[in-house]
Amino acid sequence: MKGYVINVKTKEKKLVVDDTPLPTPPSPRKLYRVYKTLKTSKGRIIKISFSEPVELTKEEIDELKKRGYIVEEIEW
Amino acid sequence: MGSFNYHWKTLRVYEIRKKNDLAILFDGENLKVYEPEDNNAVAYLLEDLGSGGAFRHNFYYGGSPALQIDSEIKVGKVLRPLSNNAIDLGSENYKFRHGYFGGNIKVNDILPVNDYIIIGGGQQNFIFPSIYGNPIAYKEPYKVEQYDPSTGNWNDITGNYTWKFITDMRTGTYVNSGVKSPDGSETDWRIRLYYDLGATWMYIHGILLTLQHTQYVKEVVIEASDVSDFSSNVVTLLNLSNIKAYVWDGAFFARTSTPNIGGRRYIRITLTLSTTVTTITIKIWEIMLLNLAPSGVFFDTLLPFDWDSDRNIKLYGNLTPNDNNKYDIGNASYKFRNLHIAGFGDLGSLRINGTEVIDSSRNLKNVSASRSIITDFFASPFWDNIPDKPSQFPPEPHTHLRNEISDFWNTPFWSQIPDKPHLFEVISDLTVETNVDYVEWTGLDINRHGVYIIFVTIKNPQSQMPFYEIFIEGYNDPSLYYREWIQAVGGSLSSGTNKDACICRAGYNESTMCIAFIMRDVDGYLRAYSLETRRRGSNVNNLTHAIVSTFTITNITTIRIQSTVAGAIGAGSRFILARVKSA
Repeated sequence: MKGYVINVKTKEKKLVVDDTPLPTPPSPRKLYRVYKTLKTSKGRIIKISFSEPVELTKEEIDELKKRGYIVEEIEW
Repeated sequence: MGSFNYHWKTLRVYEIRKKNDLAILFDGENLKVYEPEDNNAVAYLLEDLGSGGAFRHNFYYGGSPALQIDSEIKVGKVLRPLSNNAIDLGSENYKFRHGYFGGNIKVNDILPVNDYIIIGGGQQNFIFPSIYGNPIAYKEPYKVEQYDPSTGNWNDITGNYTWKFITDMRTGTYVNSGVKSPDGSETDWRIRLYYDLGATWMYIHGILLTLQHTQYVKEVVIEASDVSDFSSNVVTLLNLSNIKAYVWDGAFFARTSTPNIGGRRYIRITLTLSTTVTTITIKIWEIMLLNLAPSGVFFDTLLPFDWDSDRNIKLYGNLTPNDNNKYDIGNASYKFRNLHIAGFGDLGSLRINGTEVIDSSRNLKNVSASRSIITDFFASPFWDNIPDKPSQFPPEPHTHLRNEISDFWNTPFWSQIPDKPHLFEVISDLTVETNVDYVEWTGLDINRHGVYIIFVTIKNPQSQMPFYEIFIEGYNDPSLYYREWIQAVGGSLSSGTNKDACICRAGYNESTMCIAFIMRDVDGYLRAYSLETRRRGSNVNNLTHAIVSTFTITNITTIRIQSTVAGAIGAGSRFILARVKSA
């Protein structure tokens, strides 16, 4: 790993490089929100949130999209 | 009297005279021939003729015996050939056995019958005439092996003995093999010594061994090779492998049959020495390889230093006095000019022009310095040693101009003010100069400082979008923390719970900014709250992250912000750490 270590008492700043590997975190959960659109008489498209953040499988996403829903991943 | 054909039968006579002088006298068993003109001087004498017992023949010359023949042939005069450098003593097939001389032998050459010579008379070393160079003088073998007849292996014994003793040309040093006979049977010590001549020698003309308590020299082999392990290109200079020369205390000399080493660099000497003595061990005092070389080369090899025509001396080794604290380099009247040392000088004391400036206890004396050479007086050792400087705090009333102090917060005065107001104070402002994985602060004390606030803006140069997480006290595992987040983007709100300690994120080549508040709650858990904004344009995100630890701590002394992607804290990222309450 490579990083800065600052001692706030002595004001010493060191760039530390060692052989410790950066831990590999588990893959984060993928959260999605499902939307539905309404079209006004003036032709405007209004996107309506249709769900809480939810975990979905690829098959479920494809199924929802076929049914006309918009599925967007949340960058949490 | 008589004629050629008619002889008298018998002449019986006592003496024969030439005129009146006695010429030949038959005296008892002796026949005396006198010198002419002198009746008393016997020139030649044959004694005891016909006595049968102590038969002696003496040939006299000048009144004293010149040649006496009885049980030995004795010479009473100088024995020399009639012509110079033309007559031999003995022959190739009929040799005299031993020769005994009380004085000198002067010859043009000595050709040993057996290719070796044993020189008796003690083990003390001696220098051969200076026409002989010694290519291994003062060299140490780079390897020595000993033969084990039970396995047929040559075992490395380089470190078992002080081998330099046998090439140091000194008396009093030798290698004691430790080998003696266990039971009176003949016991061998067979060794191989490897020397590096440095490719500076062309010829080896002989070998001289000085030995003690060694009964027999049974093998002397000299080989040369241009590879150090003698695996190839080996030439044998001497091969005496079936000899048995008795050398108890003395020297053994052998001539090489092939003196030319052909430019090879390495020499290997194989010796087999043996003894039947059960009480005393075999010892080697010296080994010399002799070379008919100019005397200059001899000294170049013999002495551990070199010199040039200007009398400059070049050392090949350390210069060490023979006794401690006894000898000088130079003196008060004749000093060396300059001293050049690449390493340290370890001195008892130091004088400049005869005056001591640093004594043996490392006290500085008799030196002066201009005021301008001191740039930081309070950090120097002088300040602490001023005996009468003001030492109490607060000092006596005095005034300073405000502009005299440029960085009040870093002075020792600030922390000593007992009733000062608690101020928000930046204690670290770091701009990252190279891409790193983490930034960590140590020396913190949240019990005294109350709250830490970190203002963060990070640039992510990596293609992956990392989580930037906050860890404390070495608990660097995100699964030890929980985070509840709320995200607002495009007018929509999302929220969720995750098991990590993320305070912000940034996409590839994008920046993020957050403000993280950090406290230790009453129950001892970490509480951190981050307000984050990321992305740009209409996609700008507004997030909050509420983080709590699953463990408790008694203080927070270290805080680390670490990326889940290597090098994702890019150069230019900035971290401003502030404490809310001053110490």
